[in-house]
Amino acid sequence: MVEGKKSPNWNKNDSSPILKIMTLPIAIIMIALGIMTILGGHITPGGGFQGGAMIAGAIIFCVIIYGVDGSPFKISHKFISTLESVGALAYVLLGLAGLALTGSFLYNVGGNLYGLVPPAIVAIFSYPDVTHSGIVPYLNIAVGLKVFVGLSAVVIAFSQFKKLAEEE
Amino acid sequence: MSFANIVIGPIIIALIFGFIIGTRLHLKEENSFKFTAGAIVALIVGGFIMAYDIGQFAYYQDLPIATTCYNWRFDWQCIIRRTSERRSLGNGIYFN
Repeated sequence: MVEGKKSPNWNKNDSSPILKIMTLPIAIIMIALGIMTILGGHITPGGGFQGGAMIAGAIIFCVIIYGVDGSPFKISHKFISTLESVGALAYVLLGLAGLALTGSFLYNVGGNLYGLVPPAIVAIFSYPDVTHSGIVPYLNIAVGLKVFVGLSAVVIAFSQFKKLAEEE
Repeated sequence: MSFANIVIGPIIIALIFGFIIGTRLHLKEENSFKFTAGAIVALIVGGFIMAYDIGQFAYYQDLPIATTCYNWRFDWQCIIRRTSERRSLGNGIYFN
């Protein structure tokens, strides 16, 4: 370690008591707002990426204040890899459904704007909503999952570097 | 406003989403955050206040709060008729 170099000490639990008390409730509210942003992505500003980034922001908030080891949100490697895989697979499979049924990748088989898909298939992929936006909310959910775990993993990995350097 | 037509489609998705993230939350540890049952009650109240301040989403207008809930019977013909009415009226909002 270079002496005198300042860096955030994310591995020590030395934040102020006000932050320690307020961070967790605020993080939970941020997560709820992020989920709402994802699920309202097809009718309101925002969407999968923005909502996922808000959820990841809540996780990062807790990591910064409580430290990696003391954070109430324990994001394991298995959890991250599972959600990344589920999000990516859901996105690709929804795209391939359009490719298989109409010849166009990511065709909105639930919305069926051009009438290329039989109604039975439309009923499967339709989102139960007044807008009948088809697969768009499902794509938002898949992207939201990926962004949430992706951004969280980046910050958790960065916060571990200091710990590794201290151990060396 | 009607409370009878609420069908819990996206609400269930939101609960699953919250459950996935909530499983990562571990509160019973040797930590400094004071998160008690009173804090959970305060969170719920704060969440409702936040949802009320955000207000209704476009097209989701059965409750006075932002819920992202499905509030319409799944009636395709009804939706098509309402859409044509809306287009003829020129506004962008459904009314019961």
